[in-house]
Amino acid sequence: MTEDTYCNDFVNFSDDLCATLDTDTDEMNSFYYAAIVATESNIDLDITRYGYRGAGATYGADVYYWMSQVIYGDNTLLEDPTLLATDPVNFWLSGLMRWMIPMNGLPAPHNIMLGQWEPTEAELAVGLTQGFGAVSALFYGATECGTTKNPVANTRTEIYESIMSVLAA
Amino acid sequence: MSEEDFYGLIPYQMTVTVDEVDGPFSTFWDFLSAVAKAPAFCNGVAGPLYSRFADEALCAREAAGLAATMIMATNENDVEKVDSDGNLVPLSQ
Repeated sequence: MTEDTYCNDFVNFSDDLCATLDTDTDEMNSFYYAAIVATESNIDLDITRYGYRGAGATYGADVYYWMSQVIYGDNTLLEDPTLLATDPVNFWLSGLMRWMIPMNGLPAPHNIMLGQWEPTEAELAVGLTQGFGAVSALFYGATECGTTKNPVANTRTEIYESIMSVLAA
Repeated sequence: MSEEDFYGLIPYQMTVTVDEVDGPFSTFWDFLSAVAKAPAFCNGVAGPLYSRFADEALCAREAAGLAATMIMATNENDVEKVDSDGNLVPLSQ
C-alpha cells in the first residue's frame, strides 16, 4: 500500500477509528501545570485568554504553559498569550511545536513522517498505519469523523500532495 | 522551498503596517527563524519503513505535511463560505 492510498483511505473515517481517536478534551484543556504557575505568580487563568492562536492553533492554558517554557524558558506566554498571534516567529513556532513535540498522549507528526512511530495493534486494527494520512487521522480524525470524504480532510491531503509536487520538481 | 513558493502557499495572510509601510504579517524569514529554533525538523533518522528514502525526500515529506497542517489549522474551514459574488470560497485559502 502506498502513502497515497493511506491518505485516500483516511478521508473516510470509520466509526471504530473515531472511537479510537476520541481524545480526552478535559485533559487537553488541563490547567494542571499552568495552575501551579498561576498560583505562584498571580496570573489570571481565565480560559478565554488561552484560545486558538498561531499556526498550530495552540489552545488551552497548559499548552500555552509548555510553549512558553520552550520558547522563552519562563512564563511569558502565560502572562501575555497574545504574543502567539502578534509575534510572527512565535506564530510559526506554534505550528512547529505541535509538529515536533508529542502531546496529549499522541505521537509527534515529525516522528510519524520519519517512520519512527509504530502504531499499536489497536491502531492497526482500525486502519491507522503510517504517513501523512496517519498524522491527519490522529490529530483531526476525532473532529472530522462521521462525514464521508470530509472536505477539510480532503483539502488538507490535496495541499500536502500539491506541495509535495512542488518540492519534488 | 523558495521565498516565492512560501508566499504562494499563504497568499491571503493579514497585512500589517510597520513604520508606515504595509506588508505581510509574517515573512519567509520569520518562518525560517522559527524553523531554526527546531533543529530536529527535517533532520532525523528514518524508521525502517522509510529508510529507503533519501534525506531530501524525507524532508520534503515533512515540510509538505507541516505546511498542510498549518494552512488548514489557520483556515476558517467553512465549506459554505461565499465571496461577495456568491461563489464558494475554497478551503485552501
